Amino acid sequence: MERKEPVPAVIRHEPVSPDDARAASRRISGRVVRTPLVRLNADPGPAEIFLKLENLQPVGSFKLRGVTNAVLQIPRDELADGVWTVSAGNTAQALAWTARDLGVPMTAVVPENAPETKLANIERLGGSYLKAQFEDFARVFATRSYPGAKGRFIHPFSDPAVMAGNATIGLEIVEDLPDVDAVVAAYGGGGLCCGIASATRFAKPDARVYAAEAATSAPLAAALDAGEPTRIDYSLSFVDAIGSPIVQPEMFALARRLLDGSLVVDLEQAAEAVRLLASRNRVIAEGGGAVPVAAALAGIAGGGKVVCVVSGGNIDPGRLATVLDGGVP
Amino acid sequence: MTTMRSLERVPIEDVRAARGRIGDVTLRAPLVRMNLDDSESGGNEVYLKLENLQPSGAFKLRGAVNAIRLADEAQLERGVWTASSGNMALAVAWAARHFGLRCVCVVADVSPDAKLDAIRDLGADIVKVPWLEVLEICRVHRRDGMDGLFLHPFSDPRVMAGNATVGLEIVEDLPDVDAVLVPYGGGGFAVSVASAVKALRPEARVYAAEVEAGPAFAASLAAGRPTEIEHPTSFVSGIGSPIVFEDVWPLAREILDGSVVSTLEETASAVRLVAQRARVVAEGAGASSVAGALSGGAGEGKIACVLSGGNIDAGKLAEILRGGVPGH
Repeated sequence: MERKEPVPAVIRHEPVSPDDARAASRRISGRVVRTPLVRLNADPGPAEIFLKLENLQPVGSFKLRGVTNAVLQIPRDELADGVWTVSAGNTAQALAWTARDLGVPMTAVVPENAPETKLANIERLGGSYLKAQFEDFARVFATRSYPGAKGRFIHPFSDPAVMAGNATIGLEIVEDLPDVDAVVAAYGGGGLCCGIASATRFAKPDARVYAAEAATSAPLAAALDAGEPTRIDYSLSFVDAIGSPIVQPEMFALARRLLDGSLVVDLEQAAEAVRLLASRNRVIAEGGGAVPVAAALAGIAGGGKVVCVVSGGNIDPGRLATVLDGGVP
Repeated sequence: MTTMRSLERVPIEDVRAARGRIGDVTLRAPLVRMNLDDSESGGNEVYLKLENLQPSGAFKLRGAVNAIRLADEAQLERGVWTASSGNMALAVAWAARHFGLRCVCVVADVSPDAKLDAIRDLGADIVKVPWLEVLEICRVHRRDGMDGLFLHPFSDPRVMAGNATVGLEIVEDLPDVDAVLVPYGGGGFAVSVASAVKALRPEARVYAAEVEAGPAFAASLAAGRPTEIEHPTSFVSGIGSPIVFEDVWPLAREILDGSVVSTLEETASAVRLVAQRARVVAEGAGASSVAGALSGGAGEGKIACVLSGGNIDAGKLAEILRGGVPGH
């Protein structure tokens, strides 16, 4: 018989503790790439810019850290039925990769209009998916249950274990660059920025931590201005891994506490950063992954040693070709 | 002609010493598992050693830095020079700028302007000579009128020891590696990496990766002796040659387990797949190792591909991403 999972109350997010961050580092070591921190090969500019290359994770994004940290905390005998999540994108790929590594089944609940290429990415790693109507899909984020989904549920962002996994990025940055002045990371659900800021808070307290957003969809900047979550005009762009009509209220409370602000760049700047990363550093970033670099190059992250987290590299080849030819997709 | 001495295996203690010498300037490039399903990988685990992430864009920086650090100060005061318009030139120029040294690159007069601009941007001076003269410098290790420390692109023991650190790191990161694929240009890199890999894990196979445009090593293996072949130009500029260098040949034949030759189309596909699944930019030569692994030429098991460099023209990369093969 299927076990009923209790529906948890809304999580009040707290910063990741030093112990939890360090435990996550040990737990995921060997299963995720300890990504290199390299210099941006650019002409002298407003800051000394470094890149934390999370796009080099085997599934192409930082999500592997949080997912791996969450799954490995589940006792092995409770994993027999597998794991499942609600995502068609980077979290689904990350969970499918981890499940294949552990030899357990994996299911993703995806919106019914999810593109075939994303579904193929899940199946390629041995995962399966269940198509849900959009309202049902959206509801799973709160209810954490879905008919027919078996095994343990892994939340894409609203889970302390996932945020602790993200915090390991902050620990590695400070290890590799003890005198870091600022860190910039893309703001999607907020778990990446808050995870990193949690770690720098105790590992390098005077370092600034900024969120970066694209001008076409910058709900955090709007919420920080208004002092509360605010619904914004939202338009789709090639910067598709971040941006939403409104910030998650629970995460906003933490973000306001931990972050030094949101840096907003336009699409031309984001495309220029993708182009620069490919030609000068030979790495491929998705729009969201390049937004921090665009901010640092524009000087709005300030001076000193500025680390940009290149959070992911899953960009469509046709769009990348357009960027390389000098265009904005 | 000066007497040519055949290359010898790089002693593993020299490789370890080189690593200590270059670690603060070069990147310990990560070895990452490529995201493939069984139908793509043939059930093998394919890993990429990301040398394209070196600040100069290719593994060559390792050898250049090791040689510079081993040179005496008096020699360095007169600067450094090399014979290359490709990745070795970029590496030597990058290293020279880093250490504050004068740098001259002797290049073939047919070299594209884009490459020469990239070398000049790093502060190096350029001397243009006919293409055959570049080959001759590589054969005899000297040129009249040149001063300072000569950094041979491949057959210099100091350069080789630096480049061999790639093999040392592969075995450190993947102790049960079954096969390693290394792009074969001059051949010095392939035999250097093989020296380190075979010293630490004798049962691992090490293959040269070549492309159909100028697979001189494969042709020479087939003939049992150095053999001259046609070398049509292609988008794969880092490897491919009409000849094998005679000082490299005896060691290459002995230490390498064969050559895996890929078509230009397979190589372009590998560049595309590496972009999509590993999210890095590989030049044709850099992806030739991946093409070789995916075609099954390196056999089974855990296969490490040295992605040797990522210096490719943006327009050519865009063409490949759209499904094309540049020049076809």
